[in-house]
Amino acid sequence: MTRELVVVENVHRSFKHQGRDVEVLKGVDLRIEQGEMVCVVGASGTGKSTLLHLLGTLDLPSSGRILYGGQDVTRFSGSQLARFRNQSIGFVFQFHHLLPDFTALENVMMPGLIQGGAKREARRRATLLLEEVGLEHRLSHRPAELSGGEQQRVALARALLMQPSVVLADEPTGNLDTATSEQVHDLMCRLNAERGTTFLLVTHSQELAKRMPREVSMRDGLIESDIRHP
Amino acid sequence: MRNSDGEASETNVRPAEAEQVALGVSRPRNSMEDVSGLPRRTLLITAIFAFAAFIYAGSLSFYAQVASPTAATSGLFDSAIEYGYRWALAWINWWAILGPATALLAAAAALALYWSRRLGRSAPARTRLATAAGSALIHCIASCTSVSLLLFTAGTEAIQQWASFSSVPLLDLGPAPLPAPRALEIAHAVLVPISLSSLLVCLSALASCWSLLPPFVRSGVVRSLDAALFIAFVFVSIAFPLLPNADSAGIWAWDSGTEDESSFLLRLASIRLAVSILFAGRLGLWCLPIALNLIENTNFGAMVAARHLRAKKSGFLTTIGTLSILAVAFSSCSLTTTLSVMGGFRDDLKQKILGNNAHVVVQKGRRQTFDGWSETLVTVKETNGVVGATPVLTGEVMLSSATNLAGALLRGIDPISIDSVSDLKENLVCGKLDYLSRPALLLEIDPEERGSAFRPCQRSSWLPKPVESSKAQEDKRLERSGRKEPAKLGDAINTSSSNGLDIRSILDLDRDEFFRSEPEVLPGIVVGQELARVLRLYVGDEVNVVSPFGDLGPSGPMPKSRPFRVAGIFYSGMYEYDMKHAYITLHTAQGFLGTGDTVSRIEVKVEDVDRAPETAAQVRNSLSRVQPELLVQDWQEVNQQLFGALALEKLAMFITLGIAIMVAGFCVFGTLTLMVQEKSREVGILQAMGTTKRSIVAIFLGEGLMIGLLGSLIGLGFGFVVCFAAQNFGITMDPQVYYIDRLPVHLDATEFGLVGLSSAVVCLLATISPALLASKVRPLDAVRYD
Repeated sequence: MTRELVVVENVHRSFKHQGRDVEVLKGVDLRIEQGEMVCVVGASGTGKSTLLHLLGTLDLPSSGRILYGGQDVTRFSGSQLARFRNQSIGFVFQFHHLLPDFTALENVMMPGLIQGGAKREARRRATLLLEEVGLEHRLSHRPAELSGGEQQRVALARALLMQPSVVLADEPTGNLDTATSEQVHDLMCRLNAERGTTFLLVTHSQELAKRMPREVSMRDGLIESDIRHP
Repeated sequence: MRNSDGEASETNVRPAEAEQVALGVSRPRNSMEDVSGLPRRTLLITAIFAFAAFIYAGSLSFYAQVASPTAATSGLFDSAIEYGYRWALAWINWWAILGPATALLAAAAALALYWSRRLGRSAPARTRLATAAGSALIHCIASCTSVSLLLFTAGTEAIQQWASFSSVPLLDLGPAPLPAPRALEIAHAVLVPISLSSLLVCLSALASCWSLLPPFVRSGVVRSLDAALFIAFVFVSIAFPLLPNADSAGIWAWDSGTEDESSFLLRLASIRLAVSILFAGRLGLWCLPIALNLIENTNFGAMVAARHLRAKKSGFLTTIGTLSILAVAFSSCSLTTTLSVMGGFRDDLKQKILGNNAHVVVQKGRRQTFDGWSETLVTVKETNGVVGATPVLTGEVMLSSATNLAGALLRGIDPISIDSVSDLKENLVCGKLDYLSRPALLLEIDPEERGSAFRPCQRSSWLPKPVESSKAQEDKRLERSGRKEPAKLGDAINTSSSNGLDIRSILDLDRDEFFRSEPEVLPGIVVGQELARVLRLYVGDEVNVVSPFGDLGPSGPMPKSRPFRVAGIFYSGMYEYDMKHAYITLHTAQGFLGTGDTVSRIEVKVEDVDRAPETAAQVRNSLSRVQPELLVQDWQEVNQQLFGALALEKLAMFITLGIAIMVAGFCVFGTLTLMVQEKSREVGILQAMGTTKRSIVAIFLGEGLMIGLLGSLIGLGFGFVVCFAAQNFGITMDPQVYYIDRLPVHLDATEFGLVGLSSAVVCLLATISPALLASKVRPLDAVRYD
């Protein structure tokens, strides 16, 4: 069963820099299907992070449309966007961006609490997720007491709590050593396979991208190639 | 990097470091490493040293209070034997109490110093232990030298005194002169600061060793202190009286009224208050995390807000956060205290006005009298809500005594029914109201009764103190100085102190005979205490009352004068009344003022003071049929200006001190703005996870509200304690200046609630701008890393 989950249509994004318009995205078209695992590669400054932010509705395109399940998210109001981000998108950033004042468990519960659901239910699901990413012994630790790999795994669990349609990961292993990166990647692949969650990874590591089912490479604000590995 | 208690919530742990830490057991327990670096023997020596210091401090305080040579050898002595005895006692005390403690401390300090030399250069305990031990040694040496010098001089003095004493009769001794030699004074002035400051250094060095102790020792100490506090609290709650008066003292009251007992009860009650405050503070500290946990459990916004408040922040923010809580606490505490004191003054005034004035007055007009008052009286008395009514005739007169002249408001009263309206009877400090209607009794006043009548007059300083005490003191002084001057009162006075009694009786006898020489029965008059002071009047004295409206003489109206005899002196607590009022019987007044059978007004007491206007209206209603020309006024109407001024003053004070709360609000504003800056990344992440801007605003508003509530709670608590203490323990004031002997305090729950509410609201308002600032944070700026 394949269904188009995300449709990016001719998206442009330009920034004002010292009075001049700098165009970062010059008309990107991309379609992502349900359950896919897409890897976006490219050198620094090719606009892959900007694309990810646009997909995550943290930023708005200058022109073009982004459709999620047929809905144009660029037209959403503030509170609609908030609800949409809460329920349909999970973020994993290069720096884990966990909340330092909360324990690992509370961090994972956070999206559920933001939604306003029952605390007990959020706790149950968060515990299960943390077990799934292999951190059942770190529930009450603060982010600062965790290693980098553990932090990213907590961030991954947090991204998955609301069972979002897509998880957007921006250089999730950019700060990790090779062995730890490997673990995190394997975990993502496993989750993708087991849960059918759609993943969109941004990375600059060609070697990693080679191993992903679908590799989208960007150059100069445009999609250069879109390869599906067997 | 030395973290105080291993709380590893720093946000800026570098990834590599964090990785390393995570490979370890659980947390970066830096202090644990410090402790594990401490050899067991260091701990043992520190413990011994701390124990010695504890023992020493205990015995020092005991010694300073009870048995120091200065305490023992200062003051007056009845004999050289006593002086020598006290000196010897000081020596014994020194050797028995402080000597061993000092030796113990010195030995422990020497051991600790020796051990600290052997510790490695990098050992964390080395400097602290060495500092503590060194300063303790310095202290021991300095204090020993100082005390020895003192004792030595005291001993020399004793011997010299002995020599000089033995030349004079043993029973006749002056005060022991103790001018210490100049050199000794200088040495002492140098040694005492040295010993005190070194003790201070030692204690602070020991206190800084606290963080070196293993966590289980620290938690044990904290727990045992808590337990001790709890036991002390339970004990004082059961055993000690809450208020320093004999009624609530129970078993502790042995002889009500004596000076010793009241000061003892005061001490007990203040110990109970202090222990209760400590316990309440500790309980609050203990409850705070629990309360925050509860708040965190309510919803998402409250959870984040509470966590932000309690989480470790950057040092500056923690400081100013604490400061803003304290600022709110301080301002609300001062506001409630001030309002309570002002309310106390208002209540005091109200009570005095109500005690001396009628609640409702029925009169014809100013300075007008009316007849047919007995029917009016009956009508008034039958009105609902009226407790009592009495007729009064007033007139302005001059009072002239042998020495002085004063103007007064003469009030003709009915001595029987006045009791149902005013507190005059209770306010009498000397004499009796009965004497007004039966003036013949005034001539028969028992000298003993006159003597006893003086005792309650102690509030009035002009009245002579009881003759016995002052006389006895003088006797004693004379006796001690050894200069037996011939007494002014002649040969009748002996040198022995017991003869003071005889003197008094002789004096009283004299006066009594003086009175008996004029056995004329005069109508009685009751005057205020201040008036009596100005005119130098005692009960039984004669005073002339001069009325301006007298008979017609050859050159117009002649003042009319008539002698009265003082039947009583009252103290109402209001200077105006005590200075201006004099009471005689209605009948006498009618005759004296020549008004015939009329009265100026009828004074009414009502059942409920606060419903006086309603009762006044009823009285007006029932009188309108009989005597419609009469005016009926309640006490609030009569004193409208006074209470209006008081209310205005209170409002002004509320606004002025409310500005202090506003300043505290600025502090909250600053704290929250910094907090928003520090947490802007977190805010962005929360938004990326789908938090609405409204929730972000709510989070920061909640933080401001929590600061406000916490601060005002602390402030109100302190305010309550201060007011409670002022109310029950009494802040004495100079009655000569304020005409009130202690600070009046009135605790009003509504006012407390209002202050708490207003400070919380001010904090909430101060938070609006930072909260809006927080909602403007863009999630993209927070998650972008460049």
